[in-house]
Formats: sequence, C-alpha cells, structure tokens
Amino acid sequence: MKIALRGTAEKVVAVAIIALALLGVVLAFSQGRTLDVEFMADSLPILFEAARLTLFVTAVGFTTGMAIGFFVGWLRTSKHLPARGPASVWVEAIRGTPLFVQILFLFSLLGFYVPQLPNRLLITGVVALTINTSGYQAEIFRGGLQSVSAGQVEAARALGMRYWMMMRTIVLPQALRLVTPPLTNEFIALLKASSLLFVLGVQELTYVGRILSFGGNLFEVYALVIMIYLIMTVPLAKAVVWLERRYRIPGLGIQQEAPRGAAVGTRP
Amino acid sequence: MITVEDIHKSFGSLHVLKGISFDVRRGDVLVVIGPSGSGKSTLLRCMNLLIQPDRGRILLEGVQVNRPEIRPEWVRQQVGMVFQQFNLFAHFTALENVTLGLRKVRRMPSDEADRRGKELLARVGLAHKVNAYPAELSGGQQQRVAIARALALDPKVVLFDEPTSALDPEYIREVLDVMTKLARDGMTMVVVTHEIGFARGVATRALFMDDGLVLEQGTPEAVIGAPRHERARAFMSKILT
Repeated sequence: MKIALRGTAEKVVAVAIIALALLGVVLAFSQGRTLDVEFMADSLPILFEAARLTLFVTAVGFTTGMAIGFFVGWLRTSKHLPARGPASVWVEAIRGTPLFVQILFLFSLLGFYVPQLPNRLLITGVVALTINTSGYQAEIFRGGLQSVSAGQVEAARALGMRYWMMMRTIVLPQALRLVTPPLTNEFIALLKASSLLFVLGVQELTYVGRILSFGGNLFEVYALVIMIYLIMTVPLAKAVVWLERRYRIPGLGIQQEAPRGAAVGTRP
Repeated sequence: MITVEDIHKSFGSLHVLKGISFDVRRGDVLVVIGPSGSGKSTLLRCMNLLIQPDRGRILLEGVQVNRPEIRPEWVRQQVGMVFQQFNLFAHFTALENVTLGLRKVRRMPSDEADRRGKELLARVGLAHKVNAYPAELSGGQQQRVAIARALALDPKVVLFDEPTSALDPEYIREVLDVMTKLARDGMTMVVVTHEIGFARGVATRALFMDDGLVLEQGTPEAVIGAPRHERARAFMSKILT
C-alpha cells in the first residue's frame, strides 16, 4: 500500500501514531511486563473476521440509508410544507438524539413488537445505522441539490425545460458530483459509529475486542482494534481527497456536517 | 409581437407590479429603465411566464398565453432570456450549453444541434471556445455564450435582465456589441439595463418604471432626455453625468 505523506499535517499524524505505539510498548516494559505477541498473532484472524461484520453492517446500513436519505433530502427542498415538514421532523429527530440512545430505543422497540425475530439483535443494529445515516445523508443530499445554483434552475426553465428534464440534465449531474466527498465522510463516520453496536452483542470489531480483552491482555487487544479501524478508515479518507480533486466543479461546494456525538458525550 | 396588459403581481403583502401595460412590436428594441425595486425583473419574468401574473394578460402575437390551457414551457421556447448572472450550466461546455435546449427540448439530433450551436457561438465571436467550460471563460465570454444559448431555440423575442450589470467594465463593450448586432439583424428585444449609451444608440423605444408603474413611455430621446414625470427627471439626473 503506497502511503503518500505530503504535507506537514500528515507527517505529524504519522509521527504521533508511531510515538504512541512506542510509548505503549515502553510503558508495558516498564511495568515489568512484556508484550504478549503470540496472543496478538492469535487474535488477529478473529479480529479481522469481526471487522468483516463491521464493514458488512456499515455497508448495508449506508446503502439502505442512502435510499431513504436521498428521498428525505429531496423532500426537504420542496416548497410545499406537507412534503418539507415530515422530512424535517425526520432529520431533526435523528440529528438531535445520540446514536447510542437510538440503538437502545430501537432495541426496546423491536424487542417489544417482534421478540421472536431471528437475528433480532443484528437487525436492530443495521436498522439503527440505517435510520441514523439516513438523517445525515438527507442533509448532504439537500445541500447538494441546493448548491446547484437557483440561477441555473431558472435558466433551464427559461429554455422551456420541464421539472424532471431539468433535474436529470442540470441538477442531478452536478448534485451527485458534489455529494460524493461528504458521503464518503459519512461512510467513515458510520463505520466508526458502528462500534456502538457492541452494546447489542453484535459480533463486530469493538464487541469481539472487548470479549478478547476479558482474558487480561487489554493493551494488546485494543492496540490491534485501533489499528484495524485505522486500516479501514485511512484509505477511505484518502479516497475522499482524491474524489474531491477529480470531480471538482469549479465554484461549487457544500458545507460538511460536524461529526455527531456518540453515546456518552464523546466523539466517535 | 408581445403585449403586456394591466399586469399586477404581489408577493405576499408586497405589491410589486401595479398595472403595467405596453406592447412590443416586431423588431422593436425596448429598453426598460428605472431604480432598483421598481419591478423591472419581475416584469421581465412575467413576460416569459417564469412568474405568473396575478392579474392581467400577456399576449404573444395576439394570443393570450397566461392561461391554464397553454403550457408555460411552450411560451418559454418562443421567448428567450439572458440573465444578469449568466446562469450557464457549470458542468457543460459552451457548445453543450448552447445545444442543450435543441437536443433536449426540441429533440434535435446531436450532429445537427452541434452544427447550429457552433454557428451561434461563431455569431457571438466565440467559435474558438466551443469546448471551454464556463469556469474557463471570462464574464463577458460567459454572457455571450448565454446569449447564444438564448438564441438557439430561435425565439421571437429575447429578454435581457441587466445583462451587463455583473460584468467587469472591460467586458461590457463586447456584450453590448453582440446585443447591438442582434438588434441590427432585426431581433425583437426587451432589455432592462442601466447602459444609457445602448439605450440612446440602439433602442427604438424606452420605458421608465418606478415603484411598479410605467411612468414614461416613448422614444429613448424623449424618455431619457426629456422626461415629464417628476420621479423620472430625478432618476435621470442622477444617472446622467
């Protein structure tokens, strides 16, 4: 994997990661304890398997949430209140509550109505991610649609174009290019947020990490878990930068969402 | 060619157009002058039904077009528009901007549309920029592409909403030149502008609008040089040096 280290910021981050790793090793040694490397090697395949599930739930949640999010986001651009209102409620409810609480809420909901559902916990987790991301994606799509300037819409109408023709040829091609970087960021955020599914017992990376750590080697386990999350997110983050450059439309851009808070007031 | 009869338009409690009437004959170049907020842009947008008037009639070649039986999209193909902010489609080249209407609205085959598009771009002096994107063009060039785009559908009338107001001074001339040529070629034009030189030199008729009403109508010399209404005189004295 080629790692491009352009720019001071990236160098600082890389140095920081290496320094922390070294510090951890030194601290472990100073406690009169050595790093249980064999344990780490044994744990890796288990953790990788768990990471696969993490990616799976994230991907399913993201794509299903995208369908909802696009629809809701489009409704939010409507000038008709009966369309805009419910869509706004959806978005505000999701953005105004912590994902962790949303997970617990859905857990109680599904547990009450469909307790016998097979794979209920996994489904609860995926549904929670779906709904949550749909709220944030709705805002991304809304931003993308509205970033295509009203002037271009007016010009399209002045040429005699009807609404759908205008959407297809003018608005959507530009909007979809605009939303790609924020959507990729949202995917990364959802990937990290999926760690909250541990509370459901879903066997994703964080949960399996916790279980393994009960054997006593906390540092070894969590160092690996962090590393695996980084392996998943860093290439995606690089992809965002590349996408932004490749599909840039000069003079257009949208505001990014601030990262949402997780369970106990910390950032995911 | 196009007649505006007692047009009223309100936005909420704001009464913007308070009964505007005039007509534009074939080949006329009508210049609309007036302070900002007088309703000039709203009036223009009523003429191609981007805005629906609350009251009154818009007639195109004698036929009333602001009624439910007539699709506004059809009207807009007959009445072209050029905007102050150019409003070119950012993701399309100059040629694609011009041919879009032909290909999508008129369903013209691509090669024919491209031929026509190149002709039009040559007519506005941009034959060498057919494959440029709007971001690569100067303001004056963008506006000229916008004019070519408006001409693509062979409209009967072209409306201009302050076409040079957003331009750097060095680009105003080239756009006015294109508009002058268009006028000399016989196009019917309605131009909202502050360019008095254009009004005096090219326009055949002028309107002075203030606060939703037409206060002066007549030849450019009369409206600009010898306005009778108090507010018209005040305005002219402010913009004429």
